[in-house]
This record gives sequence, C-alpha cells and structure tokens, in this order.
Amino acid sequence: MQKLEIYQSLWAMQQRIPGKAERSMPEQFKQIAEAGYHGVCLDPAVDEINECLALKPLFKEYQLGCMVNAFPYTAEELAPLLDMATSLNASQVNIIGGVMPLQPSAAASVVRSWLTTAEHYAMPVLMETHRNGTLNDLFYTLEVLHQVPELRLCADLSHFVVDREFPLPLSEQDGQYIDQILERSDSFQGRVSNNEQIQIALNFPQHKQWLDQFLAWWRQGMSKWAARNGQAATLRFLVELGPPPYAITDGNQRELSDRWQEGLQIKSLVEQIWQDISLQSTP
Amino acid sequence: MTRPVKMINQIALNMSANGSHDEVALQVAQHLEKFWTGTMKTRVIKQCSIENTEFSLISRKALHYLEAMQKAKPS
Repeated sequence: MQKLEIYQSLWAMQQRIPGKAERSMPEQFKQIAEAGYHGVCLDPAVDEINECLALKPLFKEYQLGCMVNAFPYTAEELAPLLDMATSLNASQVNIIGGVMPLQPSAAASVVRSWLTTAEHYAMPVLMETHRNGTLNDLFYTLEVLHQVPELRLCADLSHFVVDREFPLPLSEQDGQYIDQILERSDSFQGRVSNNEQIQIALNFPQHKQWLDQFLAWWRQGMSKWAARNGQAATLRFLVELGPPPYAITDGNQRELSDRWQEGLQIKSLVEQIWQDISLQSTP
Repeated sequence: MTRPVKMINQIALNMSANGSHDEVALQVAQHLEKFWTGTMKTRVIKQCSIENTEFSLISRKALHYLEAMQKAKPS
C-alpha cells in the first residue's frame, strides 16, 4: 500500500522573536515528534554539515526520519551533502541549487552533473523549485525540464506563483504550465503564497481563494504521483512555513498568525487529500 | 527498480510525444549518448540484457540503439 510521510522543516521551527532566544534543538525535535510528523527536514550548505551531523542522536531519540534540503553552490558541493544525508539515513534529498546561470542550457549541464553524482547514492535526489536557486522561475524551469528529461522535482509552487504574479482564476495556459511541473514532481512542499507575497496567513478570509488553489494543486500532484507509482512507494510532503521575515510581520517584527498551528493545519489538510485519493484508488 | 532504469523510463515517457516509438527511442539513445557518463551507459546496456528488468518498451529499444552507437565508436 502506498504511504504518505509528512515532514516538518527545522528551519521553520525558528521563531525569531526579537530579544528572545530560540528553543533548544531537543525541545524542537520533541515538539515535532509529539505533533505526529514523520520526520524533520534539515537545510544545510556544505559549511553546515557538521552542525547537522551533530543532530543524529536526536533523530534516534525521537524516532524521526530525516529529509534534507541541500544547498550546493558549485557542481562539486553536492557529494559531501549527499554523504551527510546518507550518514543521517535521509529518506530524500531536495537540491536547492546555488548555481544560477543566465541560460537554461548552462543550468541543464549543472543539473546533469548533480544527477550523475546522485546516481551513486541510494536515496531519491530531486531538484526543488525555488527562487534564488537554479530553478528560480517557472519558464526557466520548464526549459530545463525539457532539456533534462530525467530530472524529477520537489515542487514548492509558492515560488512560481510570486514569480509569475499569477492572477486568479488561473488562466488555462498557467494551469497547463503548472500541470507540467506537477507531472515531473515526486514530492511537494506545503506553503501558501499569493501572487504578491511568498507566504500568507492560511485563515485570513482574503486568502481563502489561494488556500483553495494550493489544495487543488496538491491534490492534483498527489493524484498524479499515486497513479504513476507502485504500491510500495512512499510520497513525502514537507511542511515549510518560513520564520520572519518570510511572511510579512507587524511593526514590532512579530508574525501575523500562528505559524506552528498553520503547519498542523496543512498537515491535516494534506492527510485528508491523501485519504480521499487512497479511497478513490481502492477497488 | 534501480535508479538508472527509472531514469531512462522517465526520459522515454517525457519524450514520448516527440514521434513514433522508434523515433522516440532514437532520441532517448541520442540523449543518453550525449549526456550520460560512460560508466552509466555501460551499466544500463548490461542491465538491459538481463531478463525481467523493468525497462519500458521504448527504453529497451533506446538501449539497443545506444549499444549500437557505442559499438560504432572507434576503439
């Protein structure tokens, strides 16, 4: 039977409240474990590898799985990050590439070299759709996908919504573009943006149409994933609501909504979508 | 399914709208020839000769083309 695993980003556990220290790592792991997440996602560049390896006992203590968002800034930096992911028994690595050539054809070469490196490792290695990364924007990404047909993605669609300033209702053309991204995606990330801001409060009434749009995309992407994968496959979904200043803050640098609760809400909504998809595919 | 098998099936699937099975198989082979490392190519060609691997029809055909391309190279 196909499985869904939902991870929480460790970066997203930061509170960044002015004048207040962050909670300890054990406290953060404990909170994630008690909330029923399957695991924790780390976001290292190569100079943060040792810091991440030091967390290994906490994964064991709280029986949490590990996902890695790797930030290589050269073609060569991926290997040590994948070595680290292997040491932490990571279930999946998403590359947020720091190599950003102007031309998609040049990006395709780097992506191919990363895929060749990844071939020596056991875990799935995906490229994440992310601003300020190799796959910075939608059109560029579609071109790279065309040039590297073996490339699989981890879809964080919030970046493309801002990048293209998508109007709602979505045009047929924009819908088709996103459809191509979903076809090539083997994992999804949970954040809701609108066409002007990268992260918006889930429950403000003016944001409902965007929440609905993202839920529809996640449902579409997860259904496609379920249809093309075998019964033993596992889909991984990462809840990643960034700390300040990711979403707009008030005049005291405080957030406008409860991000932890919103993460739990996304988790619950995604579990509901998964249940619907599973029921539909049950004979 | 091993990763290279999965990747080639994916390439074949993504190129499948480009023409007939035969044309697509040739395009897949050309893509592999152009962009994959020698070691990866040798490994998948070997895998293709083993029964029960999960290559799709187009992938299998592409690997026959790839093998022919490899053999045609001056040693």
